[in-house]
Amino acid sequence: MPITSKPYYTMNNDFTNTELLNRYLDKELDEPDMEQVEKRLRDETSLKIELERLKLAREAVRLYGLKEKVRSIRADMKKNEQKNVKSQKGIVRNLTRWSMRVAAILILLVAGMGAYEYIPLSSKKMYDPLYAPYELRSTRAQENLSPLESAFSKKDYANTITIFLSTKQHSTADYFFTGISYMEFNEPREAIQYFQAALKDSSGLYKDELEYYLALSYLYTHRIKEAKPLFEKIHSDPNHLFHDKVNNWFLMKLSLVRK
Amino acid sequence: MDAAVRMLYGSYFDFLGIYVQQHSGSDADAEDVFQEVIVAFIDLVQRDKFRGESSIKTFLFALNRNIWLNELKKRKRAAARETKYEHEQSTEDPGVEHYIGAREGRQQLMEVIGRLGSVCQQILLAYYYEGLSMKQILEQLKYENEQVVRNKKHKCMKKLDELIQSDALLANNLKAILHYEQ
Repeated sequence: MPITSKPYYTMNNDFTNTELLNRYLDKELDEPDMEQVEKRLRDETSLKIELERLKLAREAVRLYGLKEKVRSIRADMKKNEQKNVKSQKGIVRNLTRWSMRVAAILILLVAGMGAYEYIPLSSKKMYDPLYAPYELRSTRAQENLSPLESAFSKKDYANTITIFLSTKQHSTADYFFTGISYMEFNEPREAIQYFQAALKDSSGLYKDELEYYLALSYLYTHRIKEAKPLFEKIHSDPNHLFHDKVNNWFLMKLSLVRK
Repeated sequence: MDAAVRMLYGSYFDFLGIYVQQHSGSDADAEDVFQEVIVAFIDLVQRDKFRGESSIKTFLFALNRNIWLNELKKRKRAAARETKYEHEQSTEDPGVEHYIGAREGRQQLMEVIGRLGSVCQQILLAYYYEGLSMKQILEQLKYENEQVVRNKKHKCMKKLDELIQSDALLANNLKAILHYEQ
């Protein structure tokens, strides 16, 4: 049973609820109408249920399309197998390493998708579980810390940035802590500049931390091409401080994020 | 997509097909189950629900086994066999368990799409599966203008919604499917 047979009036159209909700899902309504629908969805449980059902109908169409696609590929494979069995086997044998095969499958699966709106993988989603604010665990007494270090150790990120900007001489640690402070304010673009500058220091101080947080900043800002080699480096170095944070599956998913 | 599906078949079909064949299934059953495995797997990857905690091989094996056992149960074969396999149907992956819980409903949903007319199928698949724009669909289907296609699409969605609502079996399973989709 439809929720209501009454048409719902909008500025320019008379729509039934179903039609209205379909247009809402397809983003075909103008902004005031979108807002009006959202308000109704908050107030009317029955409308929300209808919306969920319509979403499901769209999903069903997508799955049906996927099923038909797989079926047609399989039919084509069988046709070719009959023609030339050897060439089919050759394709599989060329991929000798399982890991390569697995990565290739996953990449191809998502890269080949037409409707990207269904891909929930995003760089931000991958970033969130990896990011944790760096904590300064100094063995030095509080009075021996520089003002910037002191502010940072107290998690006073605003003051850390202020001190950096108001002083002229900066150490590698200053750059690093200020970068982290920007990340705490969700400003990864700013943070990138500080991490990059600190990495130029030949002493290698905070190198592992800088690489990890720079990679995360790239990830946050969706600069996947720059993030990837850094994460791969961390993953391939068992002695890297953040080696355990970057596993094979993470790297695969990184390849699946839409560029 | 083509290459990935071919690779999945090339890499895993023989291995997984044997399981079905060794558990009362025919060649055709092995084909059907594997096709469902592939569709479910692609769907899970694209939804980011395949977390990679298990290897693809392990995951596909669990999907394949559980789909086949679920199918056997559905077919209501010999009670003894059902009892025998019932205890095996524990899943080690939440993604697989989730899928199996909503499997019947999903199958019913697929059948409903099959009951739509061919024109509606074409339009809805072009828009919601292939992600084509109204302009591209217009070029393919030769309608008068984009608005006509858009209106047709809405009518088709309305029809689909009515079919879903009028299917009593599906209505019973909607909750499970909605839970799966979230």
